[in-house]
Amino acid sequence: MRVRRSAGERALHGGNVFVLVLVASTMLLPFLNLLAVSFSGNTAILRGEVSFWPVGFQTATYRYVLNSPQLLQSLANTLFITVAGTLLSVLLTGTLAYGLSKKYIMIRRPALLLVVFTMLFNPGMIPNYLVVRGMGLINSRWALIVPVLVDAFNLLIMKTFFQQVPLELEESALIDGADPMRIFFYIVVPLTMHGIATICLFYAVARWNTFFSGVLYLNRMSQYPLQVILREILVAGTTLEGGAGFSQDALNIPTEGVKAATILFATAPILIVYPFLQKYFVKGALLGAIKG
Amino acid sequence: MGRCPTAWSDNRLIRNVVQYRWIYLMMLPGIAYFLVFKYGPMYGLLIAFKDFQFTKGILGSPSVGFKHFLTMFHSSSFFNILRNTVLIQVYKLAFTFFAPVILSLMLNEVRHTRFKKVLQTIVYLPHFLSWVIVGGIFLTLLGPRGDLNAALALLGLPTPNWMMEPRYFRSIVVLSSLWKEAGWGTIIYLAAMSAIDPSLYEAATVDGTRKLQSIRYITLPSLVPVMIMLFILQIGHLLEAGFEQIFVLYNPMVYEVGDVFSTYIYRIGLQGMQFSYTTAIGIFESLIGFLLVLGSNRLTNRLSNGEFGLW
Repeated sequence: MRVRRSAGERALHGGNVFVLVLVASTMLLPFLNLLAVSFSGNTAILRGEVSFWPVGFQTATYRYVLNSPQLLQSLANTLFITVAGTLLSVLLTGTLAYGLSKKYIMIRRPALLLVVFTMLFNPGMIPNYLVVRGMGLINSRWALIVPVLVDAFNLLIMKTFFQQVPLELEESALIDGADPMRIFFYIVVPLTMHGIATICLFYAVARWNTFFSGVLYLNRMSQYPLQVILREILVAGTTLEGGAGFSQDALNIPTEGVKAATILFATAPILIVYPFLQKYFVKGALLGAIKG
Repeated sequence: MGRCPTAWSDNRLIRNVVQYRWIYLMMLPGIAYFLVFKYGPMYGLLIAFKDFQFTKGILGSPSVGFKHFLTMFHSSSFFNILRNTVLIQVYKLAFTFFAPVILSLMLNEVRHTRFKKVLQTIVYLPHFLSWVIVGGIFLTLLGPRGDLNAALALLGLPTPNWMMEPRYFRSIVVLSSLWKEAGWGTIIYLAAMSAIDPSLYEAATVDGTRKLQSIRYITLPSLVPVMIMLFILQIGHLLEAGFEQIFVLYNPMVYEVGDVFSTYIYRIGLQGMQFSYTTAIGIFESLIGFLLVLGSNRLTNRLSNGEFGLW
């Protein structure tokens, strides 16, 4: 925000910039507040003294949160879902989108219709549940991966990217005797890295944020993804279990502090990765939206 | 195209499959996914016309015709969730649809590129947070002893328990949607703006057109097609208030105003084991959504002579 004070900017677009900064603040300040709370002492939080700077600085809250076996287990679950889910999703989305981008594939139009129709008509929660149950996926972490493998929107984004690869490149490789799979992985994929990075991010964020299907398909606490545990702590008001020798009350760990720390804990990966991927997803989202 | 399965087209298809077998092979897992997980559930829709029992399976359960649909249309809780869903979605449309348009017009006027990027980065961010996190932030802010009430108390104003009061619930839903998605929504409008030929603006400056007029006559018209496209898609979600948002934000005190199709189907259908009845409700929800998209697309096509429709 250091550019905010630039005089020329203010003179020209003062009001506009002021409002924009106000809007952006509503999105940043909650996180500064959570950060301050997560490092503050119990008394200061209860007295409502903490705004954007820690009062009664301590790190016990984080030590408590980071030692909670419950949270660490759910983190491991979510990491598994995110990594395995994203890899499989990108693979299946990419391979299907590649075929859909080829005009000479005769089932192209019917297959596209098949995909687009699912964007317009959703059979609903119960029929989906029955299929997942029928596949024997209830109480399996795969239930959070397999039923959402290919997202129609991401598929269309990828298809648009593939359509922009010059056909001549593939044709010349074909004449040189490379088989189509080799062409796909060695020529087409490197050329469409922007698109792949985009859908990678979209899938990874969606899997990291997996919540509803965890509630729907899992019954064991030990399998819950991070977001389901988070809901227990943030919304249902359940106390986070500490590690061995840690008890929230005995150590005077602030409940609000634990909430703040867990929110930041679950958001940190997105906050860290996000700025680096921004240039990719902006382009990807545009392509998918405008041309798709 | 293999539109009619004559021997000739069959042969052509087979030859096509053989010639491009690698590509067909690559497409196979993805297509299988769609058939199993997107079209498999369509078969499950049958249970809306049956009294489904797990032990008997979908086909073995006794058929009951339209019983569940009749129950639905005679149930007051059905009309309650219908009203809640439509109201929440209409409020969302009214209060959040134009926010990205305005926000992107404002962002577009920021000349300092770095600063604009920083602003964009910040306003896109909430889109990537889960509803649990966003809900958690709102609950902390609006809790009985949350930051908002702390501020109100300082001013000597009343401090209601925001989340427990039915009359505030829908506003909180709309507000949290606005906070989460308004920034992300600008992406597509900013793209449409960047596609505008700069010479148009230059010509306007020569003509002495004021800033606001060039926004009114050059920028805004270029956004109209995108706005119409998004509007049609939004209309399709008229009966589809997101489950996660409501589920995180609501509580039994506000069921009366906050219960929507998805949360009701989850509670009554899955937790209450009324699979057939809630599948019937789900069919109603999906079918209306589907018809609304078709209808609004058709209307748009007619009004714009086929220029602005989705297809």
